[in-house]
Amino acid sequence: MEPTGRRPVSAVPQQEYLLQGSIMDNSCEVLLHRLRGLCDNSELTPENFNDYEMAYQIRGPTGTPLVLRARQALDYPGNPWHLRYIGQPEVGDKNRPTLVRSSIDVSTSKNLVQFLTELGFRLESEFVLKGQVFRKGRMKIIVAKVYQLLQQGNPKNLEPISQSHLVELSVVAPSGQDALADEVKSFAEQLKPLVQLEKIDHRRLQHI
Amino acid sequence: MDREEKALEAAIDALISRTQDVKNSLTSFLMKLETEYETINWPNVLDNFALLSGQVNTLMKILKNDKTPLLRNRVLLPLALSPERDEELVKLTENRVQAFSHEVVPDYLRTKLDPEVESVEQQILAKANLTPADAAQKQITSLNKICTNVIDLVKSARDAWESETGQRASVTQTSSMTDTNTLISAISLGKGLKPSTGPMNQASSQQGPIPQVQPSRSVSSGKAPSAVKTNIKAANTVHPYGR
Amino acid sequence: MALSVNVSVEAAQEYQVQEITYDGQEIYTQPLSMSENLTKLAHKIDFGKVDDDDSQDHLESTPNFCGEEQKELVTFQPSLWPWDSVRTKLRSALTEISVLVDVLNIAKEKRYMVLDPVSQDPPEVKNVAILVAKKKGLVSAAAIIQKGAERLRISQAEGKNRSLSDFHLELLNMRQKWRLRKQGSLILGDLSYRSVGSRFWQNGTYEVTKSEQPNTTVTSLSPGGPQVPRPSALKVTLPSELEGNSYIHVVIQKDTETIAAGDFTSPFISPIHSDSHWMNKLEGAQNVLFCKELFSQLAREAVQLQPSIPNLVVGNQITASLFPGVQLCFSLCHLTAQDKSKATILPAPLENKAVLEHSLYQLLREHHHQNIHLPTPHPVTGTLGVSKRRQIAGPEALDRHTLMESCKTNTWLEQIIEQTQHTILRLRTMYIIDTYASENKDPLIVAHWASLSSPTCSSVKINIMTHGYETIYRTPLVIHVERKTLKAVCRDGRVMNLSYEPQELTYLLMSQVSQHQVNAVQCLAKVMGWKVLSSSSHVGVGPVEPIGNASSVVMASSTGDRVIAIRCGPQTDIQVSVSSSPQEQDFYPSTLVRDRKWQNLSGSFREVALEKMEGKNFLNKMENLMACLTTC
Repeated sequence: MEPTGRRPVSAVPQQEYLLQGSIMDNSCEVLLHRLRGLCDNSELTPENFNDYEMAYQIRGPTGTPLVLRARQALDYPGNPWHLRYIGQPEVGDKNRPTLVRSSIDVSTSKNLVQFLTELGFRLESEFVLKGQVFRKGRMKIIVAKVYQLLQQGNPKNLEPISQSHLVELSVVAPSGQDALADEVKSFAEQLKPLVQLEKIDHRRLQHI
Repeated sequence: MDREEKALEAAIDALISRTQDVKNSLTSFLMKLETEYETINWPNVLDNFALLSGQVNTLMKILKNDKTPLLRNRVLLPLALSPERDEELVKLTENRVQAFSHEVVPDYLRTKLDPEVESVEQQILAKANLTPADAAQKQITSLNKICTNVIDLVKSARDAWESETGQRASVTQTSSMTDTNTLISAISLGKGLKPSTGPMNQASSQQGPIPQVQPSRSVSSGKAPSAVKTNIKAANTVHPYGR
Repeated sequence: MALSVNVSVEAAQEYQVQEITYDGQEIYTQPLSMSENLTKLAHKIDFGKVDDDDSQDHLESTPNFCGEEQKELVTFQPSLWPWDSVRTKLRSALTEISVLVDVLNIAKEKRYMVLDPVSQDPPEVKNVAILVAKKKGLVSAAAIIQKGAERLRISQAEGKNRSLSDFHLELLNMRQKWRLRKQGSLILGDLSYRSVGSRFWQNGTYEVTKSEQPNTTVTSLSPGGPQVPRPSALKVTLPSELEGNSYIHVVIQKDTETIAAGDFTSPFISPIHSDSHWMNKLEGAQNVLFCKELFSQLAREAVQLQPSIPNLVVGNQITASLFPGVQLCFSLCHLTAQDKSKATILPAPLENKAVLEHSLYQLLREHHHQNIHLPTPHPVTGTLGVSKRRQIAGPEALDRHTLMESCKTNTWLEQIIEQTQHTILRLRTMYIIDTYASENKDPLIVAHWASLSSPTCSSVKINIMTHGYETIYRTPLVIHVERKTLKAVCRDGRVMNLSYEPQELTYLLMSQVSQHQVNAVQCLAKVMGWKVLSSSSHVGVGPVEPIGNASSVVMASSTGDRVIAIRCGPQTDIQVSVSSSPQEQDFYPSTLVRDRKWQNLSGSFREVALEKMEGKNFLNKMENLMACLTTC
């Protein structure tokens, strides 16, 4: 695994440009309708999804906890699992249109959980997302309800955690493509005033 | 007497500030006309005029206000003339008056109207004199009546229009910030999710959101991604099918 | 007009204002003497200029603008003029208000001036004068509103009976079918295929403006006469490279002769004039864009592909070879209104035009569709725009080879070449079968082309049979026409692969026909009560056939006294010989054969002159022969 010595490959780190918001359940239909009109492939029925995410954590030698997220599509049991590392989000100043965070995505086989546990990772939290996903060019828009699990490890026994749907607007791209961020921002403008998609500072949320 | 002086003072202050407003808008409007004459458009000009008209109106309101003492009963009385340059005066009048001298004062205290204005006034007076008093009185009442009617009409139209736009504006709230925060802290930090019941996870749920852990996390956040970055490089060499 | 207001108000003042700075400070000039003024004014008169611009002239002769200010004004005067009267009035207003501010300020200081209370009679209320003034004010305000209302009314009335259709209605109409957006004061449209997945570099932006066509001529024409279509209120301005119409000309050339040509165009092709309706213009332009994208992709692939005979890309033409001596040739033709002369020398489109046209069309459309219809990843955090196979590649640990295989797709050029090769091969096969069938009436060859086919595969079922004896025997044969080869499935299930050389199919047909005849006679023999003594489809004796093998059959009559031998080769004619026992009625003893009993041995075969026999065809003749040889 030495990066040197082999032929040099310029690995461009992937960045996720992200805006988040929420919509109340009773207005969700309106938003979905609007999204359907704005996004690609409006002739098809919108794509549903039902994902089960588990956050695993390990404490490294420096004491820094490292969080990895394992996801499984409950409605597509044959699909590979998805492992994701998300870096610290950079909020930046006012001029930066979106939140930027580094992201590493990898598809994995189904014994991911076992693998993580054996590496020393511990389950930190788990939840289920149910909703619809839209696409517009390279942008991905999800409107989903967040459920908590009433019983650990059983994604069938669920309870919604709020009266709103989560709305996320994101693009994953090699870093430095800041024009994309503007694209994301201008799309978010079109959803106003239904949803206020904003840069939500996750660090700030820790203290609420 | 003292009270009257105070009221006068206040009125003068208000007048000065309002007049200053008008003057400023006039200057900026002129600036706009002279520098942006290529791009300026009619609605823009109208906006400026509306501003002026509004400011003049407020000025008039002050004059008509009950609290304003009757300015009619006051005359401007020059106390002293001085040919010397007075810095304070210069400052007060923004360089327009350097000295309260015999050259300036007659100009400034001119009471005669502009010939144009004067002729207009004359015309009106002449016309007014032509009409007999009782006929004029009738006209006044009928005009007042018509005016009230028109005002009512306009008002009701405005109310209808405003209620309509008001309805459109008062859209029901569709998103809530607290919900956003709940949802996002749940998915990104695991906050607010039901603590897992397994013995293994009890430990982790206790440890996870402990505030002391957080600072160290954000401080050394630069390290964690960089360690993973090297991993991507290594991983990428394995993949021969780069796009 | 507002412009006619004289600006000479200041003339009454003692000092002329030379300049008012932006902060309102006035700089005065010493008044000019009469003579000075006159000279100054005279200087300003441009004697060479025709006095056509009133306002300009008026401005220049205004004594108010003099000295430095005049110079400063000159720079922007020409374009400032619509606002000039406004500016002048504003300036005088500024002067007055500045004075008011100053006076108030000085009075407030109470050093030079105070507001001194005096007692005055209450002012005399001039009700009538106020009435008159207010009325006057109302009248002028009402006049402005009425003028505006009148204008609105006129423009609305115009909209109803104008020959030009309504701009906004038509814009709405356009908006429903095309992509439009407003940028600043411009209305821009986009006719590129980007929203449906195209990634072509050229953008198809056009501008929509209100058409300024005079409508008087049309209104005078329309009543009574034939219904003149209303000229559109919209005018579209297209980029010059997208104007006109375009198509891709597809030709298959054999050496120099053309086999088939397809003009790739949209069905609505018609020459586009500069005064066409915007709909036609836009559709034309979109078609141009489409053709360009298609052609550029084909050209790129033609250069990249490395076939044994290299592809040629010259200018607007691509040539690729299909079979030896057969080429496929694409050319991008672009017709604009200017060079309509070209349109007249359009080569007459030949058959199979629709197929090639459609295929090309389909290729690009499919490509567009694929670009935006990649499967959504599940879980949704997965990477967008990755095919299903790539998604499972990691977890399933696919090896390099499998991955490479899955990524491999045929280029458009390869696909279209394959399709064209198939087309040629199909045409050839058809031609061979038809020619053969028309040359050989006995037996009959009937070909049924399957209606279900793919662009690179079709099949034909051939039945060989004899007229009048269809139920007795038929030889079926199925031929699959593929891209470069033919696959023939015979009656007995044998599969034969043939190359694209036409001769091979002919030989196959010939051998099938010869075998058919022999097999049919055998079936006939059963019906006639004859016995088949021996039969062989590949006879080892007799003259050698140039191609294939002869087949033969020997049959005996029910009593066994007559024997018929038939030999049939693919290229040689059918030979029928007959022998009988007893050989002849009369017996003449010779030195060698002395006894009559020897007559009962079957005699030597004698050939039948088939062409002299009665009968419509070979089987008919054989039936006759068998019938007359049968002894009861």
